[in-house]
Amino acid sequence: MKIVKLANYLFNSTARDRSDFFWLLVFPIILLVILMLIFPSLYEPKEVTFSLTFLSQNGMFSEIIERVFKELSIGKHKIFRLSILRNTEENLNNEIEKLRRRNIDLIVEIPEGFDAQMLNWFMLNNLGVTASSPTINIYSLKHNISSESAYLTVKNILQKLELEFIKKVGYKLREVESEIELIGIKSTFSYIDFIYPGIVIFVVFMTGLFGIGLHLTWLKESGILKRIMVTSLPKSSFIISYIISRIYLIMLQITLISLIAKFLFKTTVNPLSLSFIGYTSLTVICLSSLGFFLASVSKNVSSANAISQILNFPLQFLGGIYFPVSGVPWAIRWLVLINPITYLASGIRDALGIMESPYPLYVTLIVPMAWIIFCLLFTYRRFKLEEV
Amino acid sequence: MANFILEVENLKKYYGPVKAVDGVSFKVKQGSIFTLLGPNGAGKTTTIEIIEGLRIPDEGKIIFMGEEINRVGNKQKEYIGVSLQETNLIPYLTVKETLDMFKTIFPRSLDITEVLRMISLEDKANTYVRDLSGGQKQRLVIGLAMINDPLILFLDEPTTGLDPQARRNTWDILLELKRKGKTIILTTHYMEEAEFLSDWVCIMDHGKIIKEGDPKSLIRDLEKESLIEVEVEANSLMLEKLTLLEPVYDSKHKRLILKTDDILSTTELLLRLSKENSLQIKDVIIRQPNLEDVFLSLTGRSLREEL
Repeated sequence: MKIVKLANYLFNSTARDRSDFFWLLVFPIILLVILMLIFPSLYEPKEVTFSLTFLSQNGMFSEIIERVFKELSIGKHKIFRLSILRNTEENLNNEIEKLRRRNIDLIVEIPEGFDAQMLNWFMLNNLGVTASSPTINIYSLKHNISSESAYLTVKNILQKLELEFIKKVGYKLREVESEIELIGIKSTFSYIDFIYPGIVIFVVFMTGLFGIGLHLTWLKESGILKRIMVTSLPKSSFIISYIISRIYLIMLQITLISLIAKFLFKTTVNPLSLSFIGYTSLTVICLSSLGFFLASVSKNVSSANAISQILNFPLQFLGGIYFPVSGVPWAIRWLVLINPITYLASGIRDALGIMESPYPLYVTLIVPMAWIIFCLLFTYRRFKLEEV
Repeated sequence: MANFILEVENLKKYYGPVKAVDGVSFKVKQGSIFTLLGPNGAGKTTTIEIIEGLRIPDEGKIIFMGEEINRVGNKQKEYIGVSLQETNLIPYLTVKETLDMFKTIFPRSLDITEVLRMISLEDKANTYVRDLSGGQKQRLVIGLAMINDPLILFLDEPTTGLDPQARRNTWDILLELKRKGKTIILTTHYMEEAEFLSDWVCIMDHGKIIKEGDPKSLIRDLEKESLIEVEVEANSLMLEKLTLLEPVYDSKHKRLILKTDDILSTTELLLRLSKENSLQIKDVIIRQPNLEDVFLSLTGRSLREEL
């Protein structure tokens, strides 16, 4: 009873602190909303229409390409707002000026002699001679997302077109293996399903680092801990009360995040599933231990602050909370590999069927457990509630 | 036979070469106010924290309520109330919640309303600790020390940093507690506080008790009725001629203190000597001796200049 009452007071004092309230309860919600506003568009492309100028030439191949672009510029799901002009120097210059002013997204120029180049290329290829490919000039605007996206779309269309030409004249298709790395995103990928467990890990991480590490150091430095220790309260009772108060905090955080993810962003993840509860519990134990470790190595709040900042950024950003980290350069990959959050994040996502983990199940459990053992042993040896 | 509630024998605590507490022994009578008086670094807090169970002594014996113990444990802590030096409290709890939190810890406790009345904070019961003034916070700290209705209260410099009015209020609370039969162990570097409150004073310096007794007898031991405090730049010749008056000269503050039973003749002698030596007397104070003078006569240093 006294343990629970003490835990209630410890929790109340944290929840009433405006700074703690913002950083531990409000900020994760803001972060989730911001991430959901920014990233889903990258993962869930919407219909877009690009302004494109097509500078044509006379000739069979040029006309075929022109027809294709015309086809893609009509109907409800059109890709382009197309403007077709004769390819003259004056027209090209005018259109480049329009592109610079961002009035259009892209210019596709069929150069003079394109048809002849195409015929030449087919014939020489047929004779087994490697000929230089005919070229189509594409003008895009540097550092402009819309223009660069239009370029990628047109490039894709032209590659498909080239394939059709080859097929029609009966030549063999030489296939080249793709070197694109699959990061495990499934076809039904939803960013909220990906980020929701990440934000859960983030809030637990924040509580571990700041709500335990920094808070406990402050309790120690301010003498509050010493004041409690001169009462007849056993140390173990205080530690249990403190842990319960942090569990209240984490449960409140996860509940808030889960409600928002479920009802505002419609995640398909079931927060009551056993795998979610299991990995979340492991996360809570692991990252709380990290908090106790921080309180053990810090002499005062200033040093705790400095150490928490050192730990915060690499652990948070190289743990795969916000984006997959399997492809980071080798220079920093070691930080990914020793980071417990890497395994917690990939483990929880794999268990929930959101994204396949690059690590075996046992690794996603063993690495966080090793961290727990290390942090708790260190805390046991180093952390003192009172001076001796 | 006196009833001692606490006895300490040959208590020692060393930090490397620093002898923080170096063989301290004393006895505390039940229902008295016992004071450890000394400058900062004298070893008062270390001594008191050993008895509170916060530090482990290197050597020594503690007899707590007739029972010899190595260290104060949770059993003894039920009977003690503590106010630490520079106590901070959880800022986002109200006064009432703070008292209730500590009340929860102990198996026996006083009613919160009663404690609030004793520390005169009834009207601040629902105020957050962060919004209390320094004096109110200190009264709450004393209230927390009282919450378990202890037999012994350890108050480590309870009035440091308080304004005179707040300090006076704290003294009133302590005297009220004494009237209720509580034993109070106080540390202070304020001689007037020790003199006003204490039944017994131990003067500490460099980890040792250098003198102890009740304040009146300590002062009486100076064997002079009055002191003359002179602000003058004294020279060695002048000091030599005043040898019989046991001069103590604080060169830093240009303060000369003389003990005397005959104020008139001493003043005349002082004026004559200053004239002969062409020294200008800026100020003269004639007063009764106090514990500050006891410390000065024992150490040659002023208690004030050590702070």
